[in-house]
Amino acid sequence: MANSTSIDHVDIFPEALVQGTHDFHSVTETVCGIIEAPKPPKAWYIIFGTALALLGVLGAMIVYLVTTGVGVWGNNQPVAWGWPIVNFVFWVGIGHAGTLISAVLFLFRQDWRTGINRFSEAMTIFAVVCAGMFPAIHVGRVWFIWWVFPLPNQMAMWPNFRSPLLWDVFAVSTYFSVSLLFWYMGLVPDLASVRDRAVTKAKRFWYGLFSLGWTGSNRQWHRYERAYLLLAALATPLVLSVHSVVSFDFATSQLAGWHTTIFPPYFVAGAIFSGFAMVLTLSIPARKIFGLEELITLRHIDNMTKVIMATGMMVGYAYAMEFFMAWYSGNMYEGFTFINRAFGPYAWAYWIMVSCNVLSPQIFWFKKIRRNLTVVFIMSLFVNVGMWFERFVITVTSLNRDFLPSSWHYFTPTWVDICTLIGSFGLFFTLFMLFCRFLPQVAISEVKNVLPQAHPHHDAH
Amino acid sequence: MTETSNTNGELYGVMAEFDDVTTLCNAADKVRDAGYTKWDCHTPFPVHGLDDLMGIRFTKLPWVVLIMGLTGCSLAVLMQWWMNAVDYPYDISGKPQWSLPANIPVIFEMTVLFSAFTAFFGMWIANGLPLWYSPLFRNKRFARVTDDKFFVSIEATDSLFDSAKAHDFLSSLGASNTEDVYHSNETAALPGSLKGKMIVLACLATIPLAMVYNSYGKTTTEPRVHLVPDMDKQDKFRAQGQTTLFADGRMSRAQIEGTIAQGDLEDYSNNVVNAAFVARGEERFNIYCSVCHGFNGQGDGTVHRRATELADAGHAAWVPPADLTLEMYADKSDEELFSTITHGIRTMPAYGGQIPEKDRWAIIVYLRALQLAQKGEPVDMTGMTSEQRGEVMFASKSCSTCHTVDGARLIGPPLNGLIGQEITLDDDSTLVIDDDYILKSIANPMAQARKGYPKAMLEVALTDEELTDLLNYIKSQN
Amino acid sequence: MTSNHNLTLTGDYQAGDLAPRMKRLGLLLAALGLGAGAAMGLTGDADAKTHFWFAYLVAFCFALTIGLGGMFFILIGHVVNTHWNVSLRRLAELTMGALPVVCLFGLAMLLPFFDHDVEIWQWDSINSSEAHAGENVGAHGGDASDSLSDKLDHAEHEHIVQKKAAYLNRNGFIFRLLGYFLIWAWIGRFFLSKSAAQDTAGDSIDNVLRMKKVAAPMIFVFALTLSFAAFDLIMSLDETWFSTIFGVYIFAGSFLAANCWLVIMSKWLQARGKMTDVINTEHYHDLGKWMFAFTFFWGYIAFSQFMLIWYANIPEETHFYMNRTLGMWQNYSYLLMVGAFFFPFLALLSRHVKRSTNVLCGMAIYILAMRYLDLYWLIMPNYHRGEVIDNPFGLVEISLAVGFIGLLIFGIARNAGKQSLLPLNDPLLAKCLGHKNL
Repeated sequence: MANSTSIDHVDIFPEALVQGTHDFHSVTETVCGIIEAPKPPKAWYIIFGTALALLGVLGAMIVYLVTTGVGVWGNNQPVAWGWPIVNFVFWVGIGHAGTLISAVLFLFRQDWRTGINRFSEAMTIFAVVCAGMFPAIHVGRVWFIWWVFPLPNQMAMWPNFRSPLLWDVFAVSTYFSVSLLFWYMGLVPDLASVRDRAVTKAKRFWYGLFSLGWTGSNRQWHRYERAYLLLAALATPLVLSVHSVVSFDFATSQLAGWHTTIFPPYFVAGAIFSGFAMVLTLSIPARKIFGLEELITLRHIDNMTKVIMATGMMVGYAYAMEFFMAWYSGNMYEGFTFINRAFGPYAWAYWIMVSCNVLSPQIFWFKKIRRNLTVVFIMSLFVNVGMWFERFVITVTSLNRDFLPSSWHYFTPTWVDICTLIGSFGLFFTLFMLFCRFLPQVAISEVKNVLPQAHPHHDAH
Repeated sequence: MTETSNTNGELYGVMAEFDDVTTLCNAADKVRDAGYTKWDCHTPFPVHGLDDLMGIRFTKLPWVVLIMGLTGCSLAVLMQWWMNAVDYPYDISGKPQWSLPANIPVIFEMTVLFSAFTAFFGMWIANGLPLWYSPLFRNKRFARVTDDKFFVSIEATDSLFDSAKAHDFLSSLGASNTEDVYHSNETAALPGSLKGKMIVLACLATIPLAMVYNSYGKTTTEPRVHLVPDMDKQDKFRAQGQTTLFADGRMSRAQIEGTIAQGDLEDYSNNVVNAAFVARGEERFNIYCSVCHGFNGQGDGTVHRRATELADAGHAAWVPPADLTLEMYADKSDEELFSTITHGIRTMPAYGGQIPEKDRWAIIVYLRALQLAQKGEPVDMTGMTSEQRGEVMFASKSCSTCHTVDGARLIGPPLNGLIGQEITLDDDSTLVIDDDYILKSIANPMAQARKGYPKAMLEVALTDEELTDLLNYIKSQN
Repeated sequence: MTSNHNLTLTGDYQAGDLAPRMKRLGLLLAALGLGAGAAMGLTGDADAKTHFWFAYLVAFCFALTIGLGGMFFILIGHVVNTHWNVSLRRLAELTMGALPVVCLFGLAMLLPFFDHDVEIWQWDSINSSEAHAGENVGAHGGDASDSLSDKLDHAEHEHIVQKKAAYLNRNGFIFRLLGYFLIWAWIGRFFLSKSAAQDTAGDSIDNVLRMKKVAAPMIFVFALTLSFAAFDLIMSLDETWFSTIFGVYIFAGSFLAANCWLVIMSKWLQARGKMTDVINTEHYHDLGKWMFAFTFFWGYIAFSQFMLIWYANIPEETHFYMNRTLGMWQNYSYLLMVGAFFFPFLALLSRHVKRSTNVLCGMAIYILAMRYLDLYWLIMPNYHRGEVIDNPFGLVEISLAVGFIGLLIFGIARNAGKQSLLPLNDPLLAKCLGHKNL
């Protein structure tokens, strides 16, 4: 076989999902050891400290915003939807990889999900928390945010169920709830592992409480697996629906650049794309810091880069279709919007988007690069940046040149916009670091299941 | 995991430890064949194939999930229908109040939400989770069930159970260790300190509720809390405000000498009241006024109807909008009505800022038409000549909407000087107008329509006598 | 080197004398179907001929989408290194290998360009009316009784179509169509020959590696060619309508059709004693899952397209759905919604349906009929577009569909005898035969 090709034997008979000489016990040891260590690694303190500081910034920004009004942001006519919606879609998008890895890859029998699913589910939940924050603070009077739910009130009014924004409320909250259930369900047997190894009373109490008295009974496992499969089957269309509904916020309008029928699948592909990039951004340092290299292997990284490349191509396909249809439609507004996107005042943002999302992932065609952690890490940052810009381009370029040229306006964010976005990363990483410290980062029982000795009558190696 | 023999109570069963999956699977197969029913395997991860070996019946969970999913689906349909089409129907961008395509996303989400919660908590219920206590946990070895060991437990309540036999049997299957498991003889009561803490917590939790209850339905003289000071205290000039910026200390400024405000240039004093002006008034009235006053001005607009419903249900108090067709409003001068529109009255807000002056006059003209339409007086036609009766008819039968008798063209041709006029018909033939043509055109307007005019005239039902009067009037305008 | 050393294959995996029989069957169906269709359709007046060509296009697209779905089945299998579908792969390769035959007959769709009585792609006549300005052409020709606003609409309509003439013109259309067909023929040829070569390659897996290497970029080529073919063949029938999701819509239907086709083909072969031990309940279950998943995916895409157009309510887009809710087309729309989505979705939810191979085969035939309906619903309302007409469905449609299925069978049979029906030496075959569904 020619070694020069970027595909080799490994692609047909992949290396084991768990590297090194692991048995059941050493897997438990590796994962629980992180929680049981008296002190976390130094890097944890650095990241957690930074994240906490940024979380403080976010808190300050929100207080300033609420006490002053949304005028502190750059949003104005004609760009009434500025950074808040960009950040919302960005975070929700990131929140898609978790459930995709958990549910869709589970249904597709992609065993390699086991090493990274816990990780990415946690990421999903924290990303959705960050996402949900933006519309909530965007309403200005945050204490009225409960009006979006169909709750009886003294005004005898109900929400308008024909509004895409209300669909968003239902989609995102359903997604959050189901992801949380899914995550927690996977955690139960692993929390039992931590419980059974706990040495302090407090740990035994809390882990005992949340592991629900799990005894590993096979009669329970049977229903557990069935319920897990059901949740996976339910979460799969849910993943499709959430970002589709987010795309409806834009696409049900009559605005050129927003109203195009490919938006739902295009947004979903983009969400998966950005989500996987974020998983890489998190897992490459985490596996090093917490010594999980043998459980989150190069094969996991390799597969994730392939997913990124595939979804990047889908996003590229959507960009191309939008452009082609803008011309093909013969509609002057459509045509103008897309020319304006690529060559107008925001051309710089457009080309950042194209180069980060479509061009740069092309280097993943090469296996050497797919397994070079430094390059992969940098590329994952590129994709995160590119996907943020995608939402920026969609939102701002479509709005900033209104139908009425006298309203044209070059949107610029204020310092509050910028600090809020940075602060949301603080929230995300604070939660994530707490997760890393107190919960099993890898699905212990699932990883054991992909070890060769987990199957009866396996040939001893 | 503390196991001391002096707390041992009743025998729970026998537990056997296995070191690998293969032995466990063989053992499970044999235990089942031996006829035990109350027994179980305990593993650190789901061992595939073990379900069949143990003979576990396939769970009914999927069916429960399906049923609950359909419940969520139906609830979502009902909820949206009731909230948007029945209890609180309102118009958003002309969409139908009950429009299924727009309701599908929420239906879908609710279906998934119900199904997912059922799958999750259904699993809890079916598995008896959370399990607060199991005798198995009292055995130190059992801690490794979540690590790397596999266990088979046979309960003492099984009809075939015999401790000694079970030990031998399990050992013969390759168990690396077998031992008895006992219930605890300690009571399951909560420790006293925890109880105390929980009571204190429960008491504290009622405080916010009590505060809410205390202020329910009360009024206060305290100034309100300004949550968003920037919104409440804006740096802007108000009509009656004071400022140090101007010498006279007033915020509002007088109009600068020799200037005119935008839109004030036009002189409305000689407004021409014609059909177009009335039509403009109708359009503006329907936009701005009809929501409360109704399309007929009788005070029965949609806002009024909705508010009345709410008021009847005890949700709100409501001052009904005026029935503008009443005598008292018909008697009001144009200027007074103009002032009301401009500045508002009682609960009616000022519309001066939204409706340009000319449109306000147009609304008043249209309002007069509405009042007339409601309060039209019968005309006494006794003693009138045929031509005079025709003139009354010309006005009252809407002829004058489209026709004039002064030669001006409205929608239809002017009706003066008709007799003897040569006209071109739609089929390009020509014709000289006579009595017969006029009568036919009234009875069946489009039969011989004139070229160059829209085919818009409707048939007018008239008695022969009325027809004659009308004809005489038209002829008199020659 | 491969993990198949312990594998002993004892079944019958050679088409043998089945291949010539299939060939005869295919030819017979094709000749009868296309012959009868032409006899009924092409001998009539201009209207009957137009109807014939629309029905021909539906039948062609039906066979084409099955073949293209098979192509995606192969490509995605290689890209994600899947093992469960290995025993089905040769059948999919054969299906995709039938595309040249189908496409050759598809080229007959160019004939209406040269027949003045027939107008299928109206942009063509609008373009030529620009060339002969003033000449009244076809359904859009100005009628003296048209009101001014009708005339303005008509002018606007022509103006938009003329703006697109750089893409929608006769030469470009023919050129692109030939391009797609050649690319597909090449992909089909490549994967079938490499896969066949692997059968006798012994321990070397170079052929498999080569296929994997080519498959990834080919997916992109596949996506673009399928999308643009969908725009050209179907979307441009309504020359002013546009929808960016349209390629994905056709793709969803194609892959669904291909999975159904594979179920039917496997059952058919197994009934004749072939492949009996290598395609088992687990494989049918997996195909059933794909049928379920893509029924849902198709529904999702169809709903997304409908929802966005319905909600935004822009006349230049809504006329597509207006035409399909006019008169009896409304019944087709409802039938499509219930028949192609709700019923199969609910039926395939059940694990029993997916694992009981006869029921699944019944579902596969049913879904294929719904795939035909979907294409019919996309294409046929352009015949007498925007007018209330009687249901045109009749014997012409049926015979043409039979004819194209015959062509597909013939195309498959043409290659079926040349190698085994199973990728005998695929490195993942053993894993494929051993896999089980949870």
